[in-house]
Amino acid sequence: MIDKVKKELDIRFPLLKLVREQHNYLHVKVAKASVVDAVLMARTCLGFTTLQLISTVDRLEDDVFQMTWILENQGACFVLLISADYPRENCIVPSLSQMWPTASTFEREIFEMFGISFPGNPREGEDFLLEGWKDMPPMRRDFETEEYSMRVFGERQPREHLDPRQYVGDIVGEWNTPMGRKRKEDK
Amino acid sequence: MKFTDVISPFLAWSRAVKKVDTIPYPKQQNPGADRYRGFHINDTEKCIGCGRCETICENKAIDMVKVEGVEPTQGDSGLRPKVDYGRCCWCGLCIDVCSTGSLGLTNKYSWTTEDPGSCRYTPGVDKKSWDNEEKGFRQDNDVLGWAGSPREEMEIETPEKRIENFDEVVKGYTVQQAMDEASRCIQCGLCISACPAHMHIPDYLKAIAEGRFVDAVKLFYDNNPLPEMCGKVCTRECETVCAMGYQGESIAIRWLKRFACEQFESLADVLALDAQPGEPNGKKVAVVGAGPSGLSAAYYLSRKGFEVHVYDRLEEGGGVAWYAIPEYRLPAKGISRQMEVFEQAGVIFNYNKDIDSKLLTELEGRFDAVYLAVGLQKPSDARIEGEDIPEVKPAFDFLMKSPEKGEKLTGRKIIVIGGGNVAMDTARTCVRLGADVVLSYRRRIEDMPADDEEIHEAMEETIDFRPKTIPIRIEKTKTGIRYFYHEAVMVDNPEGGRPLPRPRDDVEHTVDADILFSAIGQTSDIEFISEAMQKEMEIKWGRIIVDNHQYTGYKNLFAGGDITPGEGDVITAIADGLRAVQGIINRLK
Repeated sequence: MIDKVKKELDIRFPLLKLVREQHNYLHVKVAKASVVDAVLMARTCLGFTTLQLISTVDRLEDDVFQMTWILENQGACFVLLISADYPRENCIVPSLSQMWPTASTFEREIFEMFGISFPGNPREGEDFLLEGWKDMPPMRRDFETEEYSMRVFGERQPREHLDPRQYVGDIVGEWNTPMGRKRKEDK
Repeated sequence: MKFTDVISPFLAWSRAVKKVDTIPYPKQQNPGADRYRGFHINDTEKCIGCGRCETICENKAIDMVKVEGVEPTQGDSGLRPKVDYGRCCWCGLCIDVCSTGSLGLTNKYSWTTEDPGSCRYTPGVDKKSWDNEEKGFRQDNDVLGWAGSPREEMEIETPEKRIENFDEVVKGYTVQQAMDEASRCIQCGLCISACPAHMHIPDYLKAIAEGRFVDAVKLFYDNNPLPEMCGKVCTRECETVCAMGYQGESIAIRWLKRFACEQFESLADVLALDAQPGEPNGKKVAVVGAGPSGLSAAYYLSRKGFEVHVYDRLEEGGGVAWYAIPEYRLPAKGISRQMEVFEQAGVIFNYNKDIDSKLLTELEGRFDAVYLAVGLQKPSDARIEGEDIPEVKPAFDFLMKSPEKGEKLTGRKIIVIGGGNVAMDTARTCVRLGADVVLSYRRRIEDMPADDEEIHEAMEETIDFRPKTIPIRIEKTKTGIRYFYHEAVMVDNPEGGRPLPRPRDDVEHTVDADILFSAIGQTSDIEFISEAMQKEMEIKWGRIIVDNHQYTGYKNLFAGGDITPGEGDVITAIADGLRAVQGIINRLK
């Protein structure tokens, strides 16, 4: 099976890159322009009729979202992963909801969590989990969790806290030297 | 219409009489998986309060707090982590990085309360029903290796090469190695509690990691005016409590200190603005003994505006630590580098002055305060029959004559008795001078008081170690001496403490040699203190008892270093000097 899938994909998508393979698993990366073609081809010609999941990884360092469509050929017990990188800025990714109605749900979730838009998804923009969320989508890596929680929820209760390094220094009299070096916060 | 469309509603209704799939909670519990990440547990005995869990926590869910019943000790801050479950996301990073592996997550995940504020507790301290839960997520440092990492390896000369000369055994770190090693520090500060002088260790390690070597040296000098010496021969208590040492290797704090000092040709230039005499306050202090303790007191007193005169019987400063420790451990080139700083700071040195009761009385009259830091001068008696034979010599005297600088060794076959650093230094020096050395010690190798590193290196250097050998007597022969000993077995000490060596049988074993060095310790020589003066002080086992500020109780006389009871190492002596400075300042106010 794996040889057949690789051969068929290789012929049609010369820019395809192999990420990882196992006996019943193949992960390939294609140019973003070829994603719909590749998925369509896998579905119609190679029997990958099930869409298991759409996954997103925020690769902030490379300034891209890595999208992965996980397809399955249940008859052959074979899983195919097709990935592509999309620029993070105003990210737009084609919707597969016309092929698989279930894609619509995945895409709604990704829109909510990462802000990636899927034009063509009939239910785009509908609340999924985060009802009434106004901020930056929270799964983006530039989302500041702590800043958000302090801004929205504030301090719950005054918290007691001691820094071990300063505390040990205070106890043993580290700053009690003849020259009297000052503790950091005293400076 | 299909057949299934007709039948499905009835099929659905059939479920109404089936057994439910959900769990009737709380009547029936649904335990988490074996490695589920639920509520925290902490072995508070094992926890050292390093705060690493708090640092790694992305959600700021952990606070280090004081807890009742856990007191700060050497190597334990006494603080324990308190977890806020309003913030915790159970990622388990705190478990993965825990220095000692004391923290864990149980598979318990259910806790009902009406007060959201109560959802925080100190694991291990606040009792919870899951405290003894075996299942849950635990650290596996063998896989991750996050809790501990190996130290940068220090290059050391091979035994075959190093016994040919007195070159330093340790080759030192490169800049990259030093920065990498220093960056392993997690800034917990536990080392400060173990260092007698409470040096600013996390701060200077950070400075070294960031390549700010000048800052590192300045931090050393805040409470240790002999950093290079400590960088080479310190007993490094700090490294024994290092949080990184629990599941990896402790940070090479000593080697990093040495590294930072060696980056500069002149330490006096680095400290051009800092090591200067303070605004004169009109007070004069005499320091007797230019060893580590005397020097540290002199340095800070001078910087505080006192006029400081140091008296020493030797030709140069540095004391026994500098004279008796061989070149391959503490090279002489560092001495001038460090002594320049003292001179720049305005300390006045009077060398070649033998101290006697007359001079002491005179100093006491002329100066506002006197600091006695004369160390231990007299080699202990071996108390072996035949120790008065001229070929039986004190090892300490031999080392003090700097044998590496040309003092001849008369003999090829040497016996050294003892297991301390002086014994190791003597044996290793003799090997470098071309002798065959037998080292005899009453107890086992693990009982030797010498540094492990010294013992290890000595064992590599062709020295014939004979542990568990009890000296009987020494006889003079035509060509030299004959040393008789019993082989020992160790028996438990009924009074507790180390096991005692007892002769295994009556068999007398012998070794022939040219010279025997006895290195079984030094004792104090306080004859220079007049009887009248001694009566005013408390003296125990030849050591002067002092208070927290090194005050002897007699007029304005302070004492520190080996002449007072203590660990007998360089850094303790320096710490004594620091305390004396405070004592003198307080007393002369």
